[in-house]
Amino acid sequence: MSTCKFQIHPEPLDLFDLIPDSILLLILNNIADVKTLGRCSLLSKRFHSLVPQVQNVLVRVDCVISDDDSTSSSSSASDKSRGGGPFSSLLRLLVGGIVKPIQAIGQLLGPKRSTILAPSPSSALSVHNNNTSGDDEQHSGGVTHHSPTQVLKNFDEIKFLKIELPSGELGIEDDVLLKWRADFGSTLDKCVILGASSVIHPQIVASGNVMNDGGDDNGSIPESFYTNGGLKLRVVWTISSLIAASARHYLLQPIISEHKTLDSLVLTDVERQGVLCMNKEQLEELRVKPLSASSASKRTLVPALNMKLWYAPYLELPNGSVLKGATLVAIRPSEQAGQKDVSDGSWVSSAFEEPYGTAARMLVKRRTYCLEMNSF
Amino acid sequence: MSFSKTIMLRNYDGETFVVDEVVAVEPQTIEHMIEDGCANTSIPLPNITSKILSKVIEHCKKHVETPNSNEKDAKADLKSFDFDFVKADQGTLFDLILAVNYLNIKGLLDLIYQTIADMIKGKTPEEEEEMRRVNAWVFSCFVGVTCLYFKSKKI
Repeated sequence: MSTCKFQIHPEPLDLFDLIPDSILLLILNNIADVKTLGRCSLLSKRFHSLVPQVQNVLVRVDCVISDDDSTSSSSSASDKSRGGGPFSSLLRLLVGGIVKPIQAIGQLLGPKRSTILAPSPSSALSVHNNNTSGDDEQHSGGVTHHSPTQVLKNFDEIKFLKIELPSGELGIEDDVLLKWRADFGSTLDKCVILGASSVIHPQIVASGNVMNDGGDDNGSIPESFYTNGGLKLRVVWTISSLIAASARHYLLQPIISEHKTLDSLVLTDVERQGVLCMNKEQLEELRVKPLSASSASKRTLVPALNMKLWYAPYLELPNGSVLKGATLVAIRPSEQAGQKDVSDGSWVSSAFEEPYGTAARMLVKRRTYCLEMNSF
Repeated sequence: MSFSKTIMLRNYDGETFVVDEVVAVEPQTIEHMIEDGCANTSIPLPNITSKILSKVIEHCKKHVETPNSNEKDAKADLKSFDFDFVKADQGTLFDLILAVNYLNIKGLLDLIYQTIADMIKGKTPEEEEEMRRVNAWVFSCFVGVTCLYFKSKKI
């Protein structure tokens, strides 16, 4: 055999018969991808009984359906409906009408059904469904739609769950950098946001540039922060990141309440624009103390916040990239201020992967500006 | 050349393999046996064939001999060795799993699990279709998942 193709031998020797369940389970844990595991559960009774015991699961979401879409598929009717006020109107309220257009999630994909893009190969399968919504399962174009919550019902012992959205919720221009990482318990625990109005990559940076200026320590934020709508932009970044994070948190409730064995939950997107994390203690906190929802929209209430901000008009990273208008914001609920040692900045600099981890470490050395925000 | 202790491994086929101690202790099972003083003559491995045992020894040797540095070349070399190592046919791979599981060689075990997992993941739609037809009696509500969606608010 020149190719490593897995073949089924229903009559002759099945290689998997050679290995004990414990090893097979380890292999399934390595697979992690929920669609592949679904197909695996087809192979035999043995696989069918082992797949629910997999502890390490990765859900790659193919498409995001806009909440406001009233023609959503009926198979989703069993999920709680999640209507909500559009985010953009909130923004308009806060920043007086001059807002960078934030792409509606609904625009992230084409038609709401049938010919949806599933990036992974998909075949037209009909489904025997033991779900109550049974026969009205969507079959448009041979593609069936399921929500992560439904799909995850098939697992009993998930410990490590990662869900990956197809893209970040925040529509930003190509040049702009915006990344957030938020940790939640039953409410926001901490959040770090890194933004830059433009990123110049190593190949394009000319040599002999302006040095990293250490001389803006005259007691106030440099002028460049305010010009060109810079301040407004940063407010928009901060608020939109917090809204995206709290919306994701809200949507995770059914999954968290159903899977009590969870030790770690990560909700990210393919571009890694935003990462929401919950560890074991935080998950338990949410089960014990339910979240407060924001009144207008389906997202978790964001508490009153203390924020620390660092800014550099021109930041050159070791790998040669340059961030212009680099801004780092570290956010914690005001309540926590007295409890933890706020001078420990390790959670800020370790929030992002390289090269942005280094950017954060460089930024925190600069002058810190403190801000506060009300709950929303 | 310094004198290095060697260990004798006697396997299922009755063959004996002589390996340096430093290579022989890669498998934790053997390391424990040596510590417990059971390795005076030869270590019996009755459930492992010669073919598999020699492959395992080859892997252990390579990993012991490669300096544990962060040097890119060394790492790349090791990586390509591992890549070729698991290009074996399925039968060998599965035999390897059992042997390596018994011997408890963590690095190699992870490598093989990952390889088999990748094999399973890389199915074409035609192969899946065949799987489904063969096992149509299996009912599962998420077997037919082809598109995962997530409902979220507009931002």
